[in-house]
Amino acid sequence: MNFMSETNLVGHKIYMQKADPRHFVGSKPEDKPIDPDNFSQVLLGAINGVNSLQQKSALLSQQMITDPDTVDPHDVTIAMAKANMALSITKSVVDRAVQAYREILSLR
Amino acid sequence: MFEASTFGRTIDILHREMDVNLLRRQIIANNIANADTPNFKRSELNFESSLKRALESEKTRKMPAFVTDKRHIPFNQPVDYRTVRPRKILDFWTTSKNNGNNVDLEQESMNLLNNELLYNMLVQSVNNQFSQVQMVLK
Repeated sequence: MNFMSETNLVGHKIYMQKADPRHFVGSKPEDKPIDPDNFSQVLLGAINGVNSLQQKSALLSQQMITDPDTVDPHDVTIAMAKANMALSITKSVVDRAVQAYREILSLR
Repeated sequence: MFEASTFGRTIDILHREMDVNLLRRQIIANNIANADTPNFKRSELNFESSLKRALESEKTRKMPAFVTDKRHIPFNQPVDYRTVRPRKILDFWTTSKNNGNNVDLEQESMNLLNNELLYNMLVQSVNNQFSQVQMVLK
C-alpha cells in the first residue's frame, strides 16, 4: 500500500491554492461527477473503471520488474485479481444484455 | 503481432524479464558453485535499472532542446525498451576470504530465493494477462 511507506509520512507539505481549474497543483484534474440518472454515463464510467483496473494491474507488474522494492507482491496479486474480477463482471453484464435483447426479440 | 497494444507490451516486458531471470539464476548458480574456488570473483546481472530508465524515457516529456543541426543532441532521447540488454558485471573490487574469493554463500542463496519468487510472480502475471484475453474471447 502506498500510505504504508515511510516516505509518505513526512509532513510540512504546502499545497498551492487553486483558484482556476487550469491551475496546475501537481494533482490530476478532478473528474466530473457522474450523473446517476444518465444510464450511458453510468455505464461508461463503470467501463472506464474496469479499464483503469486493467491498466493498474499491468502497471504494477511492470513496476514489480523495474523496481521491486517499491511494490509488494500482494499488491500485485490483488490488483490482478481485481482486474480479472472486474472483467468477468463486465463480461456477464454484456452477456445478460444480449440475452435480454434476444428474449425481447422472441416475444410472441 | 500484439506489439501495439498494452497487452502485447506487457507480455513482451514480462517475457524479457523472465529471460533475464533465468540468466540470473545461472549466474548465481555459478557463483555458488565456485564459492570455494581460489581467486574467483562473483558476477551479477544488471538489467532492471536500464529497463526502468528506458521505460521512463518513453514517458517523460522534457523541455525540447533548440537544435539547429541534426547532429545536435537533444536533452531527452527516448530509448526503446527492446534495445535494453542485460549486462553481466564482475564484482572484482571486493575480497571476503583469504583465498581471494568474494562469494558470500548466504547472500547468494538469498538472491537465488528472491529470483525464484520473482519468477513465480512473473508466471502468475503472464497467466493473468492471458486469462483476461481468454475471458473476453470465450
